[in-house]
Amino acid sequence: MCLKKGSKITFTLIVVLLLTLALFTNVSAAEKEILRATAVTPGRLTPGHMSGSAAARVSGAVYDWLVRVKPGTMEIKPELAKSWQVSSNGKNWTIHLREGVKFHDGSKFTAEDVIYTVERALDPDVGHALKENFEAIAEIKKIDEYTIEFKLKEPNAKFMHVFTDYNSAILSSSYDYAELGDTKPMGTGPFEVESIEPTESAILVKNTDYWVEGTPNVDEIHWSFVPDKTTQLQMLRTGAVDMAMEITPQDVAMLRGVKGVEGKHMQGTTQIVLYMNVNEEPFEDNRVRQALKYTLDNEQIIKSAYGLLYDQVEGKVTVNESPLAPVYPEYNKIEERERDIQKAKELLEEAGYGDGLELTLYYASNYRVGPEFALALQQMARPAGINIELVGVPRDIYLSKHWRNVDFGITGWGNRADPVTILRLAYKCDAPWNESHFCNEKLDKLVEEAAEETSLEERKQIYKEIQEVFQKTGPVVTVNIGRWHGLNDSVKDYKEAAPFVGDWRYVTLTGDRNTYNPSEEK
Amino acid sequence: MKNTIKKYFKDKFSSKFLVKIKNSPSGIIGLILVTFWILMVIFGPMIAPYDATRMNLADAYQSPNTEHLLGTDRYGRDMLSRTIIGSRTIMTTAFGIAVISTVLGIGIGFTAGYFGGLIDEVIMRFMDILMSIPSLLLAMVMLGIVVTPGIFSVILIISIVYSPRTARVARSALLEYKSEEFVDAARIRGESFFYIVFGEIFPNTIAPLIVEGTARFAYSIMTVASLGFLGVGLRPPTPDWGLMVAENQDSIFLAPWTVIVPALAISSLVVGASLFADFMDKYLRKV
Amino acid sequence: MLEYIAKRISFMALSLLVTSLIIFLLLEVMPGDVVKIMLGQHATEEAVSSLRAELGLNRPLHIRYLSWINNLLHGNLGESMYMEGVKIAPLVIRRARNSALLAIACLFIFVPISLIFGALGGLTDSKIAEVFISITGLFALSIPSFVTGIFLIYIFSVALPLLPASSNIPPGTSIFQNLESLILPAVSVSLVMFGYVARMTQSSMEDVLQSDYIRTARLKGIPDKYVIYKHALKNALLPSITVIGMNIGWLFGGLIVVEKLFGYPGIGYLLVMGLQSRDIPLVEVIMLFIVTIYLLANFITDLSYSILDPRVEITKAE
Repeated sequence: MCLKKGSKITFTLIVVLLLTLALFTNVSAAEKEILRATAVTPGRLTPGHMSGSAAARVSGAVYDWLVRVKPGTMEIKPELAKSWQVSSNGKNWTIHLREGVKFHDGSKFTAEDVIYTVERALDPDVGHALKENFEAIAEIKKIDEYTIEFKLKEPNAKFMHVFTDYNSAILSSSYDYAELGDTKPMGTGPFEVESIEPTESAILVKNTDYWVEGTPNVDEIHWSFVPDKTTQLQMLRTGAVDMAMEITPQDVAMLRGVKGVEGKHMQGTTQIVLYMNVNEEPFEDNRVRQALKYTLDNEQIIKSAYGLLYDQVEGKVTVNESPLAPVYPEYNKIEERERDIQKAKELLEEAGYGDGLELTLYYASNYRVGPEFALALQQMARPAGINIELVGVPRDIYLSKHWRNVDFGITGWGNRADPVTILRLAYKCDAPWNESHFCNEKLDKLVEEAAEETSLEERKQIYKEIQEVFQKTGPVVTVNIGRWHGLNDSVKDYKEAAPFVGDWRYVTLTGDRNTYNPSEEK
Repeated sequence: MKNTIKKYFKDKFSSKFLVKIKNSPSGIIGLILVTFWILMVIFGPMIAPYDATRMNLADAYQSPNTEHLLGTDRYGRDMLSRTIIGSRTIMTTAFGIAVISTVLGIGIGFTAGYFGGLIDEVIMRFMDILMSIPSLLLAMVMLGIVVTPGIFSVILIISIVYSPRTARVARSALLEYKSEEFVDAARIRGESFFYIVFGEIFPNTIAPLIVEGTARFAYSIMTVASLGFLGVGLRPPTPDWGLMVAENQDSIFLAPWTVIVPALAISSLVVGASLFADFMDKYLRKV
Repeated sequence: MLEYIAKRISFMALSLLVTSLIIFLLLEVMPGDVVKIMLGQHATEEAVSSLRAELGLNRPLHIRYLSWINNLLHGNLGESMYMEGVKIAPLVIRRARNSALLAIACLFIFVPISLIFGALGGLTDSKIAEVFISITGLFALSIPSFVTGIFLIYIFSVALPLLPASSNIPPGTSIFQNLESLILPAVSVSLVMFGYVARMTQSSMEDVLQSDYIRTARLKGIPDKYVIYKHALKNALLPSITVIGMNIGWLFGGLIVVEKLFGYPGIGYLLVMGLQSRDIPLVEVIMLFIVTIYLLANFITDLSYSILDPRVEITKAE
């Protein structure tokens, strides 16, 4: 066959071109740094409707906040808000916004967007999780394109803290979040949403215009939503994913024997709260509440919940009787109650339960250390003549059926930057989520004082009194638990602060990715 | 009627039964397995070394040893005790379903078969429609609704789901005899519906109904275990074998016995029940 | 024939209508306030009642039912109640495709194997082989598919790490690029049906071999091979088609359980998740979908049976 010279050349050129393309695609694919993570199915992703840490972590990459909490502390640092001032009466807050920030759709970030975010939160039809918190605002004034003034109804030293909550992510005033909030979230964050397969996966790609220079460090984040913990861990062990979010202490212990992966601890203010309904028998009587609290041995609780991890957890997990976690700067170390079965029995006798007390405890069976805590409680209370029957149900059922309806329950709480938020939500006389129906006028006054006090020292004193009120007559026992993630050794610099908001900007992947070799186990 | 039934059972289940079953090794194995678990149900609480629900986190994840013959699970509960006590729930539930679904089936099927015509049409069409929903699907959705299902609701709901099938069997059994002479004779005599159906026809239908009952028992075990696995059966901390498999699935690498033990328990019971049902089918058909 | 088809189709339509009514009634009785769960622990009373109004949950039941049916008939499958903004239709279609793939894999595995086993079992003169196949079939069909799945996981993922213990489909890829995730789930589901079909084929083969028809053929001197392949097989396989059709119900049940066990992203697993989150619109659609497919499958099976067997008249099935 005789090919014309011309076509031969064309043919060769085409082949070369194709080969180059093939090579080129391969090379760039190999060079893309993809961080693969897995978490439980996140539920809703629209800010204002997110409930649950999985959603917070996923959206942590897509959105930005005015401020973020510094990991390991409760201090806030500027993000989209460059700086802020408060007037001497503590009521007028002026916030200066960062310039040159763009949303993923190209629109400029300005004061309009912040105003939109706040107004949307206040809109009763939206059903925003933070509506109550934002109601502290009396007036919003736009000073100029990058300056806003918030006039508060009452002075509040920690007003900026409300902007650290994962549900207060900054939204674009020109985007339809009602329609697209869950299927195509859009913000100013380090990553853009390429695709979301509901209940299955999400692919996020680098925002090349991101305002923090030189970040993010990875090109893409691939999320696999896996409700099953075993599967998540298996994926981590076999190197199918680089991160498995929120693993249990048992898992961490198990991972100790596996090369190339590790369970990393994140400090937070996650709590599980045991509450007693003070409006009904038997907890109406403070002596009964005290009696129950006297049966508890804090060390035992932690040991039961964390078993093999007790040594790792010491100091990080604490038990106390008020909702104030030790990580808050306002926390005071007051004298703890020691276990005293004799005292418990005496108190019960006085209250008329000398023959024993029958209780039913409700808790979420698939949530954090609820079941372990319930079990430990059951065993510890028995010697005092208190017999507790345990009813564990899946978390959504617990929240919809039992929470606030039963007299004795265990609920998961936490992660507000300002302790006043929780106190207002659950412990004031008219608090909307007051599961224990606790109503103490002195406490109400103290909470408002604390909210308005701008000096940390003074606040600390006020909180000391609050803690004492809880110690004396309080209806709760809180276990401040830690959070662990399973990480491949090659994942570095993942930061996460108390409000679950993951900081994905600085995460890097180093070295050999799939370092797990089954034959090297243990 | 009582006499006819008594006679029937004496006839069928006397020495002839023992002879027949000796010839069927599978029947024997089936009978042995089922009897073993029945004995576990009766004597279980006495044999079980520990409390099936007592948790002790210090003992978690022990592999089978002298103290815990089948090891312990994530909460330190003894697997042997849980398996033994678990047999009670599954056996009573399955037995309850077998009985109630058969009774329901008799009620519906006999009515449809005896009265025929429009009543028959309507009832059986409705049964057909119910059967167009796969039974596991219907059961799991119904039980997913009843938030804290107890043994009774589980038995009732699954019996309802099974009733179209038992109704079919009951109806065709009745139809076989409906046009017999002795039935006509009874009708001429002016006997009541109840007498005709339960006095004359029913004793003849016992065979297929028993076969159906034993088959239902076997299916019930499968269904109850599957529903337990899906998490819509009995709630924790009840030792339900299916639930145990689901609860411990995430420990299959660390502590495989926590999953394998209930899986083997389910297998042995369900195979035994199936073998026995199979044998009853062959036996009662032939005689 | 046409009359038969018309009758069947109208009965299917009636079934679907009644079933939809049953489904709607069942799921509107559900405890656990979907709205409260949707909005999370943070929900205020205002938000709950406003969302409830927005979703039309305050209308009388019959209006809601009719409006739902109307939407369905117009192809609007609605939105998930739990995941707002997520349209049910593409989600269900995607998951259904995955389940279909799994179902096809099952059919490809178990149909030939069980027919061959069953036929061999019927043909063989060895009593041991006969009993062996019968008993193996019984084991296979009585052990629930999730139990089989657990044993398979233990053998193939824990003891010898050959296959994944769960279906991991990395984001952006499809099942086709992860076919090893299909193997264990497919075998788990197939085993139950293998049990049924193998046993049924075996016994119908035995029956056919003893029938007058075959005996006459043999007496006539027609060679065995011809007799078997031409006549016996065809007649023995027919009841098996019915059994395969009957088993479609089991197939769905098996799929649901096995998908949950392996975390396989199919429609069964979606249903389990939907039940857990009380996502009523989603569960309603999935149930209707499964029932529809089930009815269609039965119809096709019956149709093919009657086409294949010239002796059977198309009469109303008793």
